[in-house]
Amino acid sequence: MNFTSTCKTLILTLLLFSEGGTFAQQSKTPPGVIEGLKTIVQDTREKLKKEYQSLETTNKFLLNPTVEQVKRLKIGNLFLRSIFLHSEKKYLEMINLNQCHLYALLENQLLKSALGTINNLIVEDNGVKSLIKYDDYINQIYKYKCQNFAQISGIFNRANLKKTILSLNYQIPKNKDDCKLILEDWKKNDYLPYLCKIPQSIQLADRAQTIKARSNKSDIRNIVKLNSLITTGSYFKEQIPFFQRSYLKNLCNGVEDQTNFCAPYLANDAWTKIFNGELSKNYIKYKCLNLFKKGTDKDLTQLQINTCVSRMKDSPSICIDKSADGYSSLFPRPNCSLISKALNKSRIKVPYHDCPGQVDNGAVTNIHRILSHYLDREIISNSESCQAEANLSLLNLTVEAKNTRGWPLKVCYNDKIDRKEKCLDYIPGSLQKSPISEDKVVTKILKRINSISTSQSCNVVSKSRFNPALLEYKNGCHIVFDEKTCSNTYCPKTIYVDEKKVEGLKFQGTTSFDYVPNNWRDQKKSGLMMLEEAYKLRSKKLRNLTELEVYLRQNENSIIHGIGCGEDILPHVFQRHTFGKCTPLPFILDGVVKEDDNKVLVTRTSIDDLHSPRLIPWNWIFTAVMKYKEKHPLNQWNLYGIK
Amino acid sequence: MVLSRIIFIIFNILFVKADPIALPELTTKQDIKNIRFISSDGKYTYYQRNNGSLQFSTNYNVTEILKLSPQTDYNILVTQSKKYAFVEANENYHTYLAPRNNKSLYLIDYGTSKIKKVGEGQVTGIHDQDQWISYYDSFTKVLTVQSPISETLKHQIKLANVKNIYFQPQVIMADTDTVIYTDINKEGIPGILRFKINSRKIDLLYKADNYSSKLELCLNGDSIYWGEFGLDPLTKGSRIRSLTTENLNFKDSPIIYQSQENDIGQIVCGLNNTDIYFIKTFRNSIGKLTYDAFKVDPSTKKGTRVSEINFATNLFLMDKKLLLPYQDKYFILAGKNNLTEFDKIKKKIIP
Repeated sequence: MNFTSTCKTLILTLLLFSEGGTFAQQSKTPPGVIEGLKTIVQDTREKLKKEYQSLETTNKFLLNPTVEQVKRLKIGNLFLRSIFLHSEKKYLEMINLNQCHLYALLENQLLKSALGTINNLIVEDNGVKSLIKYDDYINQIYKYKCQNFAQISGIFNRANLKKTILSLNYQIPKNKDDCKLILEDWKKNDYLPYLCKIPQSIQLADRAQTIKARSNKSDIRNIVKLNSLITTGSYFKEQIPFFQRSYLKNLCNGVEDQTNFCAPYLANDAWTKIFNGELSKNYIKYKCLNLFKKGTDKDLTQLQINTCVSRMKDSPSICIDKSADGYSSLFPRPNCSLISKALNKSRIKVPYHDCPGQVDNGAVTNIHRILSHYLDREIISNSESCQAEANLSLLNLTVEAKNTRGWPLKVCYNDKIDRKEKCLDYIPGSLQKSPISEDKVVTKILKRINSISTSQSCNVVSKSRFNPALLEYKNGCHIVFDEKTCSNTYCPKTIYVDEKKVEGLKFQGTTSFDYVPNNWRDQKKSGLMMLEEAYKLRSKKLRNLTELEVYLRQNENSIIHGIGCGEDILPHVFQRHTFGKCTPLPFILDGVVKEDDNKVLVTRTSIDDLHSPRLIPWNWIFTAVMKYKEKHPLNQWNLYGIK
Repeated sequence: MVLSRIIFIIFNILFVKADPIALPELTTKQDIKNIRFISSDGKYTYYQRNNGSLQFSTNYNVTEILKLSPQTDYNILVTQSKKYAFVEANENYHTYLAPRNNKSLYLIDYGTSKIKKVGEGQVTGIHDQDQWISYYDSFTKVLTVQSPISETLKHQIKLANVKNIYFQPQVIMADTDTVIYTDINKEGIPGILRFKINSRKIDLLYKADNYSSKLELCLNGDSIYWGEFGLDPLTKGSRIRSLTTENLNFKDSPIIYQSQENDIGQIVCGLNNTDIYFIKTFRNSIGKLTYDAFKVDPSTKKGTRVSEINFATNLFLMDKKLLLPYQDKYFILAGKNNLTEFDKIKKKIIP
């Protein structure tokens, strides 16, 4: 709490009370402080209401005032007193900082009187009171006083607003002192009242939305008023990116109390940064939707993000066992505090979710993650599509790189018409955009062998969701798989057509391929070379921590990938019982964290949940890559920066 | 921060011994990266070739004992009884990077090139004086305990684990009828269970308090050493306890070692009849974490740090040699570094 500024405001308020002396004449006995203030507020409101109504009913409006007229005008004492009693403290504080802010605040309708938002002011001209429209008054004021505010007003009009907002420098404080300086700097900025109109309008719009839902629809006047507020708020939300909106909200609240501005930016946790818009909300989206048990096609509201952030901070253990149900990966996951530390330095783009346990081949998971990062594509994943999405990435890569090996996954059946076994390419799972998605291929086969009618189609359903008691699963064709055990390698599934099991379909093949070149002859068919061929993503060998750090520093959007022995990356998971044992584990690194004098790397192994990165010591990664090098047919060091 | 660092440096200068523990590095005559097992006296070596061949070498004779597709990777487990070498062969080692993928499993009569296929899965152990082998299929979640002599003596245990698909059970056999293994229940909490072969009865011997811990089992003669290692800083701590095969009261078994840190674990016992070894997490005065091999004498509960490489991840036993892999080296924590000597001696004897 800024004590000096509070005192200033109080003194200003008290001066106002003593100025007219109205109150003193009416109170015969001095009341207690609270009682006294209550009486002042009530008394002022009643008097003001009376005065305003009287001027309104007698139509005492000062229309189209001239500069000379405005120069003579004084804002009525009672009206001014009411403004100081009813306006928010942060705005009154702005008047203390700069007298011109009074007009800018009136212009932006941030001040309030006992009658609410100020549309008209009560003014006096040689003792004669009248009403004047706030904008008429301000327009004339700016002609002889606070002239630069007329220009500022111009750069915040709708034609220029977005450009102006985006051109400003929103400094993020690094420490308490830094924060104080930044805030002081903002307080001197004449834009402040104009900037604060944005969070204020958004807040009013949100409130109006709630009131509207509860309001009587026949109260047209009220609904029109609420709609107007909602429209203004929506306009600001559409025009201004989330980070700037959040920053301005914190800034305007910070005028009144420094901690309101500083606390969110000085918080070290990634969750608060996500809430502020400093970090992508994709890092939290799938976790929160999972916690709230909501469909992934829904987006999170700010309120939901806030609730979710609070849960992550208050109960860090929820990240260990909850928050990724249906997306099989290594268990237990790191707790929310550890994930937060990692996310603070993470850069990989994750607007989707994947399920390494269903994909099995870590090379496919890594390729999917690399491509999703560089192609910057948003995918609405769910537990029924995540396996197919990763496989589709591999399929696209092989097609784009013109790899002639062909797609390895096939559904085979006995074609009675051609009297031979036929096999069709397929991608496990359900994927709308792929013609070889499992559901479409099975539909095609079942139509061919007359198991379903031409109008029917099959859908892929997880075992946990499939409930034959429900009408939607009673009829039609359903490919049921157990998401807890199913993977590319092993996936016993049952096909039901109108509750009857369909036999005779065989799912064959594995997605085997060289992630890195394993022999000179076929090196172009390796994932590494295909990424270069198809997407111009070149991999550069990184041999030590310095090279790795320099690479990350010089290439802000690049990530690092490689293969190492699981026994060294995750020694609590993989045990080395025998000489030379090494479980090859692809991984992605995308940040370095200095922790307790150790350098640890933000790591997502290909068996880890995408949204739960781990912090692994560099030395472990180094040994892991070194040990895999010993096993590699070309004795190759496999740690690469990719861009 | 600066002050604490200065204090730490002064403390190190004054009180920490200057010489780190010097560990001998394992040296072999053959290219170490191809070796899969070498006996302590250097007489028998199993090693692999890049062309998919598994070879056996003794007395300067080399025999190919198995040939699978090129780039097949082999792992070989040999116990102290040395009746069999239990082989895992992964033909898609470099092309299908799936840790839980099943491997082809073979048994070799130790010291010979006689080999037979015994199943598919991942090796979990050889038990009871090499009278039983065990392996696990992480897709079907079936643990198989089987006689090396006859496939008809085969027992299968379906694990309850659905929470962690990458889980690998630890398996020991207290006697010919008793299999003790680890599992994870539906909530993700690990436990130790007993399977009686004759009655096919399964009972729970121990259940951990929470899902953020790892249980390990190690059998040395009649002594069982078992560890419970925390996996998350929210539930920190490690404990190793001991009991005998006569009294399987895991819950009340005496603690022989405990720590406030989450040790990596990987308990090794049976090197000699006393000490147990594992990877311990050390935290210095400024909070820096290091990881090194540690040994505990169960009778005195006295512990000693036995390596100072700071970033050890695991250790394992290979025929009386306790090895600590680090970067491109294998350090010898216990046992003789005599594998090149054997060849030298041989050369002297055989002109």
